[in-house]
Amino acid sequence: MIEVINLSHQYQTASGETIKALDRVNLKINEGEFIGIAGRNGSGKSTLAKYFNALLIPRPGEGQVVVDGRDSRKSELVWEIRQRVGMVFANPDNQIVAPVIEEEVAFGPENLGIPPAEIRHRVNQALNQVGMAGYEKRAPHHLSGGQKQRIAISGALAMQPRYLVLDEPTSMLDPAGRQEVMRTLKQLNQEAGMTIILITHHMEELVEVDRLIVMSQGQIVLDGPPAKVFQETQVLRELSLDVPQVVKLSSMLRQLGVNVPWDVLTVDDLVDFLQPDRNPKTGNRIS
Amino acid sequence: MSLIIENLSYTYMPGTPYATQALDQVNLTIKKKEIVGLIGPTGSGKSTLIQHLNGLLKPTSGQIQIDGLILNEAKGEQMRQLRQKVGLVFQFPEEQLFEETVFDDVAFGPRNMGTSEEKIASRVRWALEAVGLNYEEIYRRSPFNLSGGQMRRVAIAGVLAMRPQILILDEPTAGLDPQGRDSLLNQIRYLWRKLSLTVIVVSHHLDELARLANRLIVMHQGKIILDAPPAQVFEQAEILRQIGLGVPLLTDLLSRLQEKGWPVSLAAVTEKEAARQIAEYWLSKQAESA
Amino acid sequence: MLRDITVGQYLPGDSIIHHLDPRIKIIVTALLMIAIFLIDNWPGLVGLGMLLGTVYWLSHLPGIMLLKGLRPLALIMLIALPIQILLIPGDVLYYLGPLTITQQGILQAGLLTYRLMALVIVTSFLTLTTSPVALTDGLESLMKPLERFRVPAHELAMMMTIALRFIPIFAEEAEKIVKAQKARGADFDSGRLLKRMRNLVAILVPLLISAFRRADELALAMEARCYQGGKNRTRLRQWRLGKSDYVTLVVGLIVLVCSFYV
Repeated sequence: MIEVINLSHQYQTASGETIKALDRVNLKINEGEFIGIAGRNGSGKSTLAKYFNALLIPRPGEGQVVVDGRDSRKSELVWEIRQRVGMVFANPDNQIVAPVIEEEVAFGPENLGIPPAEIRHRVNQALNQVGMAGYEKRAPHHLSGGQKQRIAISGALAMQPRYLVLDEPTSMLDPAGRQEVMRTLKQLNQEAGMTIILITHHMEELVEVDRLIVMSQGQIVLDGPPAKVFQETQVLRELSLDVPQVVKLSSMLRQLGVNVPWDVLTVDDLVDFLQPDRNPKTGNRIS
Repeated sequence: MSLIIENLSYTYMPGTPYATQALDQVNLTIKKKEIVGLIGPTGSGKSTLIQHLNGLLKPTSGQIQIDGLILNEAKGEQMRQLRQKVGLVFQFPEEQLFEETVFDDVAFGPRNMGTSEEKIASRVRWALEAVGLNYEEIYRRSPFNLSGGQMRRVAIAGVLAMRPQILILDEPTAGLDPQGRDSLLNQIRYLWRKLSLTVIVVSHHLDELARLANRLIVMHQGKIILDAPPAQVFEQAEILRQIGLGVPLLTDLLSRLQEKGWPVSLAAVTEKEAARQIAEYWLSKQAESA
Repeated sequence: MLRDITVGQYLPGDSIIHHLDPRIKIIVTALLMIAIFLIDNWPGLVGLGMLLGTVYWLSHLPGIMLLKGLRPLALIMLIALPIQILLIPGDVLYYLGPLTITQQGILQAGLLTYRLMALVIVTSFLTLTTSPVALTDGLESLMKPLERFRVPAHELAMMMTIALRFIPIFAEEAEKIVKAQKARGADFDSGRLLKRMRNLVAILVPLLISAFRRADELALAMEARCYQGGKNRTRLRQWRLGKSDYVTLVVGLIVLVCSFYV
């Protein structure tokens, strides 16, 4: 479990203004969850991400972050926390260190001092998990954006973390790359039970998370299952956050007299509701 | 200012093992004051095509005509004039800012064109205002202390300041958040209307282009495979899926309802239109069963 | 399409030379370079030539690649050879006005040519058959003992690795910025020097800014993956010396010893 307790973060701008990037944030993240964190630029979501794996450390009096019982303010625990919480950043080019893919994936385990045979095993496993086996000897700059981002994910996985934090991993990708990354994350969560914390401003990506957190001005303003959060149209509009297209369409349909339920978030859901595949004789759904 | 492309082909690194044909016999006419969306998967040749339009790349074969001038034959002064007529805004254009002040950066293009300083001053003001920035507030600041969205607008102003008649933007909204994206798209639409520019926008996002442009050109493997108004392009959902472009969410929904026998049209580009169609049939069905 | 450029001139292959341990290749290359400068008699020169021929045959390299490496040498020779031929005193063969061509001069010039060519060929064998990554690995491991004398072996190797990774990215980026500024009317090919220099700033400033931004992000990403320098670090790839490595080393040592006595 990651516990964020009363966490604040302030900094001063060039003009001397004090900005509260985080303002007394409290949050518990359980293992196995697929969490989305949304918010406008400057809402504090990326700052929060850096606290999860001790890239930022709370200053005295500004709260604490505890990862599986390890308080990140204790400097001897920092490396352990970073190993437990893998991190993937927005720009795939600027987080890949090595000119050969297998070495890139091995970079984390190498830093942990893991024996070579074990590293080899982890590299194979991590590349498999993101569907990039067979690319071991290739150069990263020959890959597509989506593939590069999958390599970055597998570099984090090779450290065998319990949590994977992704800070706008799709913002630099084309739609195909975006899909690749989302599919990979869903698979990791469902098949490997990886806890995933996805930070994004693409609301479309958030329809599939278990729990959606919306941030604004350094605070958590909404926290719940996406179907619940998207009902808060008023709040979301005030934060000028987009609502997924199906949600928008559903609310228009409701206005026109079609009683679409609130938990309809995807095209699948909506088609299912509008035209269920019923067995004509029994009236039961064909599964 | 019309743009005529005839039989344009382009091969990268011809005669080497790396040779790839990026454009294959492209024919295209864009009329004055059109607003056109150019779309295709990565590697479909759309970036190569737009780089031809202001002479950054020379065709392997075929030709490009701008207002009767043949671009591939232009040299020196003529090429400069053509470049001035066709403004090209690259992807992530804020990465090309380099001057100490916003004013100087926007003035870079006009200065290269040999415009007089008095004229430059008024053009810089005009260009910054055209992209929705407050001139007085911004012109003395360093471009590197602006927000991402502002930097992008300054970079676009830098191209506008050359007073092009054709404005080409490559992925203008890449990396922006949804608000930034919507407001920039509105600004582009405004530029097109207000300045009577011919506008060509390149993007991966079909929805985005459908809202912006009156005509969509779909490229695949160096060829133009569709060239029609958005609604008609959306009707070709199957082709869009096949070339890996993905289908807009609304089109996906409508085509699946259509498969199930719903009398809906794929030509619906907006949520409102889709909702209207769906509700109409739904309510009639309800009435029937009641 | 600058993404296709490669750093160095590595030609992937499957020959016995390709598979040698990079450390051994670096050491033996150094040994041969010394030998090349020591050998100064006919049997030695012939022997060395035969050795280089054998390596060439074993490496399966296309000859044209070796010749390409020799091309820049031609310019140096064009300057060096006449000086050698004309200035070395000895038994005069021809008179050219106040200058003389001597037998010693010609022999010296021939030897110089031979040595320079041999040097280029030997280093080409190394760079053509060893990937830059393996080369970096080899250098790091050879320099490791020097860390006791505060030589930052690991840091140097990490720098080379990162350079190898980012050179293609910067090449692509530079290409893009050049095009973007050209689209704004910048002229890099003609015009007065001053203006051209100014236009160069329009490329260098964006490139530098991007380099700093990338460095920042990369440092953060490395820290997030527990990078703490070379201490306690293990490596995925372990180089283990095989029979052919030992044979190569012994051959290199024999050549060096012979070059002292022959």
